[in-house]
Amino acid sequence: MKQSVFEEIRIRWVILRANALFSLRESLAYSLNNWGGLASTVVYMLTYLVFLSAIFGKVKSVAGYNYSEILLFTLVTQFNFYLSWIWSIKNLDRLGEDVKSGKLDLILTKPLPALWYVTFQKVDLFMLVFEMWPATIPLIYLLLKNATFQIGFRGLILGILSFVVGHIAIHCFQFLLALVTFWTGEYRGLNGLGYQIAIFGDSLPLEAYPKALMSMGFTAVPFLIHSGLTTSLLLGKTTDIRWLFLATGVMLAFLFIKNKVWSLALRQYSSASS
Amino acid sequence: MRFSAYKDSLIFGLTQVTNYRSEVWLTIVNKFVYLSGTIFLWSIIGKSVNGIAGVTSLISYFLIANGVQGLVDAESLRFSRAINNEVKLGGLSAHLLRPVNPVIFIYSSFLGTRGVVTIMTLILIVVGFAFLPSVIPLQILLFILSLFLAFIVGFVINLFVGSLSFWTPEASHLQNVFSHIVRVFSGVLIPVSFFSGGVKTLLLFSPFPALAYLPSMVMQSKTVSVEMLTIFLSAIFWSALLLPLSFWFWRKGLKRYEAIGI
Repeated sequence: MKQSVFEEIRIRWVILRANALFSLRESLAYSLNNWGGLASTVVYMLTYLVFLSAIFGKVKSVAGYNYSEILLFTLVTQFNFYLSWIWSIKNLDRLGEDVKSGKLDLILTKPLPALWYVTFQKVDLFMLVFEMWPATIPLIYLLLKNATFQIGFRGLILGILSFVVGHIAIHCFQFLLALVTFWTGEYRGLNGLGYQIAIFGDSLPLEAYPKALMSMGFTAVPFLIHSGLTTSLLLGKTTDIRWLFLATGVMLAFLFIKNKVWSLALRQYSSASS
Repeated sequence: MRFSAYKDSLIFGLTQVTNYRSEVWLTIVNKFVYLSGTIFLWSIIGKSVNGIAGVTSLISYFLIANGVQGLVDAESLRFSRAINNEVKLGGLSAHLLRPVNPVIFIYSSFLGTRGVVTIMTLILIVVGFAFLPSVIPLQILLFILSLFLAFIVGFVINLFVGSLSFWTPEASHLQNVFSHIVRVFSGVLIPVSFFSGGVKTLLLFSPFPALAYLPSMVMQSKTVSVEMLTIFLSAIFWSALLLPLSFWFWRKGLKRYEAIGI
């Protein structure tokens, strides 16, 4: 009997909740490691703020963004960075390891939607609560202290939509790179490259990129949506809503490709196993 | 006997890494993407700053700085991670039974795994040199000296951070902490000259600029400035002080390892 849509959603929700709770228990078991993680992220944030203040000690603006606007851009990139580590990157590494070790068999034999399961195998709520917020406090403080811009309601809604759309699109791109593991058997280099490409647009705002790079960053390698377009929409520097439509189209295309290539990869996996 | 043991360890490390050729190529592409991003960032900043050198000079600076930092392993402090693994997984016990110096033995094996990275970083440095309009022999001499100092400072930081594993086996995050600090204050992400006032003075007297800023700066200037001289003297001071101190710290940790068998 075919499952109803509601039943499918319910199953996915149960998987998501179970994986998140298990990940939380896993994180709490290594408390010393968590404090180390917090120290690392706080130091990273502080050193990055030192980097920004050194640059803005010499220049008034970068690509048309003043200090406070760059702080907002940094906040968006930081949210994206943490969210990626909370649910995406660790799962890509785990998928690579499972393919290499053959542990993926155990997942595939379970009566579960396998793609959903491997996408959300680890959801690190501990990082969300105890690393993301404490580490971004210095940035938020500086942002509030130096804010010279206003965010309108339209900009806020468009910005949030762009963030979500861009985040999913770049995850799919990274996932596609990770799937190459099914053919090569190695995942570290691929995931490292995927990560490096994903954060390529996190050091400069959207307006800094030449047209050719911008076209690429909005389509084939969607690294400019989650941070660049989001901040530009939030600040009202980009008002044309068609950019968001394009981004949404790209996200849907990547979701479709992710599903198709996953099926191909599984076929390769089973034929290689036999 | 000892030398051949270190040589075998080095060759073993090199064999391990060359088994994964696709990984090696991907690492190279990864580094290329990272460097493109850094150079692009600075080409945009360079347009807004008066008195900053041209784009070719910036490219040269960042290629040499990144190359040197990678060459002396001050980028991700991978040697400290290798020590951490040896301590955590107990591999160190086997080295302690052998008639070799465990630090040099682990370092030899680690150097082997760095074979491809070493070649890549050397290429970065050579390409960085190619972007320079001209080079005089004094610059080459000072570069070799600064590279030697960078190597010692890099080794010392790695040994210090790696030795922390004797106290906390979950030291990987501490390695990240030091890695972030080194990245910003060594000049690989931002030239030290961008800092101003007390922060800059403090940095000039610290060991960090020796890791990337100094070797890159000596190639950019044909004269020895006060700033350069300060970093040179600081680097010599820190190397002389920290090298014996780092080995003392290692031995102190080792006693703890032998006593409780972490």
